[in-house]
Amino acid sequence: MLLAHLIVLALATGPAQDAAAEPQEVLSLSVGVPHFTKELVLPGSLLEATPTTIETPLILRVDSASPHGTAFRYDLEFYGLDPGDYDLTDFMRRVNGSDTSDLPAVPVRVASILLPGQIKPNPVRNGPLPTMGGYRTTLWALAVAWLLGALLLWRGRPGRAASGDQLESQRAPTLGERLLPQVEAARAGTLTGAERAELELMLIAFWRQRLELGELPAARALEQLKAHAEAGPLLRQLELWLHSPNAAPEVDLGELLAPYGSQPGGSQPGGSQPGGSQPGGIRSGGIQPGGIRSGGIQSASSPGEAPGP
Amino acid sequence: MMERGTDAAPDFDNSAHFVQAVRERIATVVVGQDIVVERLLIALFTGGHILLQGVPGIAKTLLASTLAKAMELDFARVQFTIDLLPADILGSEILDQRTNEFRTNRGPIFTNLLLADEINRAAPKVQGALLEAMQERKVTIAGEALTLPAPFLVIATQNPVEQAGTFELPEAQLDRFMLLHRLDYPTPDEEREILKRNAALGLQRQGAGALVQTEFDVIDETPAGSAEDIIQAMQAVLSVHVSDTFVEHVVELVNRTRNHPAIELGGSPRAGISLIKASRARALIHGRDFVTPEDLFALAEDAILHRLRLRYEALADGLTTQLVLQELLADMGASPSTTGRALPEAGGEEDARDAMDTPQNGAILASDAV
Ligand SMILES: Nc1ncnc2c1ncn2[C@@H]1O[C@H](COP(=O)(O)OP(=O)(O)O)[C@@H](O)[C@H]1O
Ligand SMILES: [Mg+2]
Repeated sequence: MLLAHLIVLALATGPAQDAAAEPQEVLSLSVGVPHFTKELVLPGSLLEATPTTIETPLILRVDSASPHGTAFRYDLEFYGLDPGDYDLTDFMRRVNGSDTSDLPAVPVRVASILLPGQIKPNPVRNGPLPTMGGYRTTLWALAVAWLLGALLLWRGRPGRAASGDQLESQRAPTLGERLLPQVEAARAGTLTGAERAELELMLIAFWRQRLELGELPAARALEQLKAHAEAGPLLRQLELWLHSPNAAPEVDLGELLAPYGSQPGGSQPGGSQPGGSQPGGIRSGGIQPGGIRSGGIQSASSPGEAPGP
Repeated sequence: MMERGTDAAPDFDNSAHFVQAVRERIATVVVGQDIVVERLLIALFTGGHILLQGVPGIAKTLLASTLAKAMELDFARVQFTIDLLPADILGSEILDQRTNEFRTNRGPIFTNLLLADEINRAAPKVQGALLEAMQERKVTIAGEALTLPAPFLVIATQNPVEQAGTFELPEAQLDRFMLLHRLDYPTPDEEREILKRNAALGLQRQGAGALVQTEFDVIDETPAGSAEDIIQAMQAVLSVHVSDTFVEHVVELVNRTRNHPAIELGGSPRAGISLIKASRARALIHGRDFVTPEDLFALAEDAILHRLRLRYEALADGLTTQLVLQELLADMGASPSTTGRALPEAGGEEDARDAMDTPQNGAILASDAV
């Protein structure tokens, strides 16, 4: 095959000038199939491929060119796009812009493998349409699902009023809900030490929320609470009850906790609670504020020595 | 349960007078800064060291000097600089030329009240030497261990760490301070008063020339209180009642710092001990013989903040320990307790109780190593 081409090309190049009238064997190619031609000698100065346009029926590329006496030797690559007979030299021009009419013809036949008259492939037959809609429908479905999910998340956020009962049971109890049983337990005198501590913190937090002091630093907020007409006296009472070593008998726990619970506070003075052998509601409720006792100063054996063991 | 009333009352009255006298004395020189004065007195009454932090020029040095001079106590001031050596603070052994014998030269640390000014300007090794002496209350010179005088209190000042030319003290070193108080700028009213007072200062002749006076020159050096007043106040602090409920609050708070997701290093037991000690002194200063949550909330930042370290991710998110602690404090009570219902048995908190549960008649002072 290659050998045959070489023969064709040799015929085309060698005695081309004088044998122009002789019938040439023409290279035949299929549309779109590339062909490589090596060592083709063409007379005259250096040639290059003519730039192609959208209409060019044959694409030619000069892979390499090297001097060959007064001529040049070319490696070419080309393929035809439209069926027909062509001359390769029509697709070349001189680099120096001079005339190419002195070039011998290098004929190429580009043939189509399609049936005669059929220049287009068979028409596409209509297939059955997918039932679940197309790409557009899928995108819409996804968008709706995403929006629904976002909506659900938003609705389920803590602090949002949850409409369903099932949501109600899942969320953490609010401060008010935690406070109520503790207050009841405090009235009944059944709080442990740790629970009493938590109760105090909850009451402080309760008043902070109620008076909307959440923005202030905790220390400043407590200062303001203590100065508040309603909260102040109550919190001070609470402090006496929980922290003072000797003021407890004067604290009326029922009155103190009245604003927080549903029970009427004043009607349940501590002293009337079961087990009340001492005056004062707190102790009779079984609550004995304990605490840290004091240390003392050990006099140093000589002045100028550090205290302590 | 200790009995109070008859025998403890005089302590409290005397201490109240003493506190008032000191406050008035400081107010003659320093305008405002009442909270800082309170914190300095807390340090003085509990023997805990205090670090004042703030930008230059807001009277940190002036305050510490005024307090120190109002006390009948030995006072020394060391200005920390980059070229300061440990021996400049602690002392050294020197050769006496006349007798040809080595003699121990005690450094300025041998005093009752040491003002370590701008402590973060010194190299870390020098800081370390001072902080170690603060902890041990002892200095070793030429192999000889010398005990520091009693009381021994360090009032240190430092510029915020962003300031150029400073060496940041790591948490482990900061932990030796019972309190770290952050000073604020004066209010506009206070600022006006500061400017007026400064403008009213006169000239001071010196030799053939004269100098314009500063506030430092008008500090009254007669003591506002005696050493005995301080001892009585220290004693009174130890008789301030700390309820179980208060201990619970402290345990809860410290525990929350340890469990917070943004905090890498939470409060140590020492943080809790410091908080309770400082709260007792604050109660005394406010005329109470028992501590309340007010003391806890007021002192939490000073006692705990400098012992916390944030996680890297939290830092990258722009959080500060201050923000996190504020959030923790605001959340106390608003969210359920983290310590459980039972009284905790953990070692750290026991320490806090042990330290203060010493029987009064045992005449032993709770260890001061805070
Ligand atoms: N609250 C204040 N009361 C009185 N003077 C003040 C006050 N704040 C600042 N000053 C003035 O600022 C000066 C600087 O004080 P200083 O103690 O040296 O500051 P710091 O040690 O914080 O850098 C003081 O000498 C005084 O003139
Ligand atoms: Mg200064």
